[in-house]
Order: sequence, then C-alpha cells, then structure tokens
Amino acid sequence: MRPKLRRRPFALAPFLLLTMMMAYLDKRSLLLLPVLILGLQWYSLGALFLVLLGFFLFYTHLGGSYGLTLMILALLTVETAYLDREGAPMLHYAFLTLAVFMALPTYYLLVFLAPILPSMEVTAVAAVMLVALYFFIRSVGRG
Amino acid sequence: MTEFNITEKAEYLFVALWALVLVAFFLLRWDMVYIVLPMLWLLFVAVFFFKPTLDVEVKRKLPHNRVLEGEVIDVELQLKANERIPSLRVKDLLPEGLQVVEGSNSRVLSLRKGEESVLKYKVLVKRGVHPFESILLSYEDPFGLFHVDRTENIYQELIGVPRIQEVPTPYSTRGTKITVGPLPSPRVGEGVEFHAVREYQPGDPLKIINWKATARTGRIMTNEYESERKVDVIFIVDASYTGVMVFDDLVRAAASLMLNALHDGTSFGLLLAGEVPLWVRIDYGKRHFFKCIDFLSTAKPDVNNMIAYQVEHLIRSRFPPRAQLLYFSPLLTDESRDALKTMSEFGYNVVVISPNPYSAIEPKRREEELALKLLSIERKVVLQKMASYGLIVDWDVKKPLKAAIAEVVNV
Repeated sequence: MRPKLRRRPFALAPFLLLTMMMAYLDKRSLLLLPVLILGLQWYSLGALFLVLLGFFLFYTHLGGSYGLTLMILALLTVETAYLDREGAPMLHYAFLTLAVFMALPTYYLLVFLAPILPSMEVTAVAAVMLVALYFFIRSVGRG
Repeated sequence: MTEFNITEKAEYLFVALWALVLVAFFLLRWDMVYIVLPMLWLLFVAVFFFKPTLDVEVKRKLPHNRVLEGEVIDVELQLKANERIPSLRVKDLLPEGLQVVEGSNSRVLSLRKGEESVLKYKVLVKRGVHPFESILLSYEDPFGLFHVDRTENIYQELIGVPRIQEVPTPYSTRGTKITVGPLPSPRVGEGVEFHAVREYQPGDPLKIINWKATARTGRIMTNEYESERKVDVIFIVDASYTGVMVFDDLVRAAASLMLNALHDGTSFGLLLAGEVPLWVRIDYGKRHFFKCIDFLSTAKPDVNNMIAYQVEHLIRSRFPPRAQLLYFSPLLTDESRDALKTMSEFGYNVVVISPNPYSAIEPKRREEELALKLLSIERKVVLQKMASYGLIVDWDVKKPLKAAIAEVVNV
C-alpha cells in the first residue's frame, strides 16, 4: 500500500510561477533552484535562497517591479511551504499572501513619491534606513 | 507588556533581511533596497496585527477521578477565547503512565473572539496516581515568527484503581471470631455497619437515635448496627522492587481478596511494606475498603526492603492475636521469606499469595528459556521450604487467581 501524502502542496503554485519567471528573466538564475527545492523542507535553506536570489538581482541589476515580484514569489514559496508543513488554516495563507503582496503597492507609492520628495544624499538615506531597521528588529525582539 | 519570544524561523528571516541590506550596500545597489519590502511587510503584519495577550479561559474535564486500570477515558479541554487568536497551540501535559489511544493531547486552533472550542482525547489508564498538572498554551503568529507562552496550572488527579476479580476465600474463619459463619451478624453492637431501624429501648445510647425516623413515625427510633466481633484479616503487601514484574498482579490480588473480605463481612487491616511502611488499622465497611483500595492504587515498588523488621514490629504492637494474615509476596528476597517465618513463629495463620515472577516473562531465546526453567526450579524449592510456615498459593499470573486459589484450597 502506498503511504498517504499528508503534506499540502500549496507551495507548488508560487514555486512554479517563480521558476517560470526566473527562466524568462535569466536562465542562469535557475542554478539557484536546488536551494529553493531544499528550502521547501528546511526554512534555513529557504532563507539562504532569498539571500542568493537577492544577491543575483543586485548583481545583475534586475530590479523594478519584475525583480520585486520575483522576491515576493520567492518569499511566498518559502513561507507557504512552512504553512504546508504546519497544516495551518486557510486564513493564514490569505494573511501571508496579502502581507507579502503589499510590497508591490508600497513600491509603486515610493516610485510615485520619489520625484516629489526633495533629493537626499543616498548614503544618508542608507544610514537612516539601517538605523531604523536595527531599532525595528530590536523592538520586535523585545516585545 | 507582552513578551515575545522570537522563533528560530524569525532569526533566519532577520539574518536574510540584514544580509540583503548589507549586500545592497556593498554592491552599491542601494537604490534596489526595495527588494527587502516583502520581508519587511511580513514582519510588520506579524508584529502589528497578530499581537494577542493570550486571553483564553481553559478547563479540563475528567469523567471520574477514580477509574479501573485498563479502562479508556475521555479527557476534555474546554477553551474560550476572549480575543481573536488566529493560531493557538494547546498542549495538555500528560502524566507519566497514561497513554493516548485516540486523538491528541496537543492541537493548533484558530479562535474568534468569544468562540469556544473543545479538545478531546482518550487515554488508557494504568494503576496508580496520575496527576494532571498543567496545560500549555502557546500563541504563534500565523507566520511562526514569534510566540507567547503561558502555563495554566490546573491540578487534577486521576487514580487508576486495580482491577478486581471474584475470588474464593482462601482461609478459614472458624475459631477466629465469636459469631459463626461468613455473613455479617445482625447482633446489635457498637459497630459501624448499619443493619436496621428499631424502636428505642431503655438503655440505648442517645447517639444512635435516628431523628429523621423519629420525626416520621412519632416514636423514638434508633439505628441498629452489626456487631464488630468478626475475624480480623490483615493484608500484608510486599512492595519490594525485586517483584516489580508482578507488582501490579500482587496489588490486584490484594484488592480482589479485600473485596472478598468486605463481602464476607470481615474486618481487615493493611500493611503496605515499602521503604516507609504504611499501616491502615483494622476496620470495617465500604468506606474503609475504598480507603485501602486508594492506598493500593497508589502503591509503588520500593527500593528498600525492611519487610521482616516491619512485620515483627507491627506484630508486637498492632496485630490482634489470632488474626488471619494474607501475605502477598513473590518471595524473591531473604527479607520477604524471613517475614513469613516471623508471622508463623508468632502463631498466626498465614496464607501467601505468591505471583510467580517468571510466569510473566516470555522467553525469546533458547538460553532465556533455559534460564527461566532453572529459576522456576529454584523457586519451587524455595516455596517447598516455605510451605511449613503457611499456605502458599503459587500463582501463574497468566491464569486467573481464582483457579490458583481453588487448586490449593480445594474450593
């Protein structure tokens, strides 16, 4: 008798979409797929895939909404795989999808606001963002 | 303020986030740092939209606090959420010795405000005291990035009572009491077992007046009790760790014969000979029976075996003369055999219920089978030597106790 597959397959949807988009964008990016496949089972490798994909996008300067969508799908794949493993309720998938896709309107908002805002020294913005990120993570860690 | 505990998963996500920001910085692609926006949004939603105080009421419901060993009971956890909790992990900490046979003692739930939920599971109860101590409530945000834990201390005890079987009386009551026969005597006396209500006779003590019956009939009525002058039976249970294999059988045998004594209307006492001996004085009735059963239910095999000394001390100070002793022991140690000799030397009638520890073992190899045979022969020799000190019932625990007693006593 074949063992019953208990794990949900929802992570496959963003995974397949991501694979197609990566193949369309740059065939070299498909070299990262083995890490993502392992990331479906182990979250640490999923996080490693996110870093590698980010590095690839930065290196090849493939950003914009397409690059952001790739990152959204990558995060969605890794997180959905986690929810699949946990057998989470459907509502949690909805929260996840909504939260992750909020990055797109935020990006467009930033693009829209960028010409209006006064130009700032990029290093200063970087420093402010690093500090803000540091305090945000600290606050999350402490409660 | 709610304390968040970061999960390992969140740590990986933070590391990835920091790594991407630093990579953007070092590759001079700072304008592309928006790539981390999905991660930031995930953290933002998890922290600001799923931050409960874990306001949950939880109760545990057990059907009874005393259950026969080997029975399966339903344990029910009732939960009521006073806030919306998208992901609540509930775990009832199971006492040792209980085995989940259906359902699970742990579950993840999603509750709306005011919603009630019930978690049910079934456990197989073994003999002994099983303390349910606490329930763990753990909230994890839907994405598993942080968790809030709370331990709800709800103490409840479940007692696994030994399984009792019907057995014949393996001892004679003749000559050990004033009234004759195994049934309770309806003689009026200062007993504890209620017999009947009758009209007040001059000389009756006031404390036995039944006021309810007096009000009902208009005449002064009194309670009549059975006489306490019956055979005294003392149950001596050898709680030595050497007999751990048959200890449950030993307790079952003691409980069965105690029920037999209750039905016969005899008074009985109990000596549970562990490291600290437990002596329950001789008494009558159902209440006393259940008290003794409670002690038997909670009995555990002990490391120290001082049974010979304990028996001698109690014979000198507590045991009534001409009592019938029922000794439950596998007779594996010199101490337990010395105890039997002591009982006999003081002139008591002793019946030994001795579960054969080797009958509880299934040999897997030929060497084991041979070893068991040798040990069984050695045991037979020991029992033959001990036969002069009392009536020994050598009990193969795979067979009913009734049959073992019937073989020896010819019931």
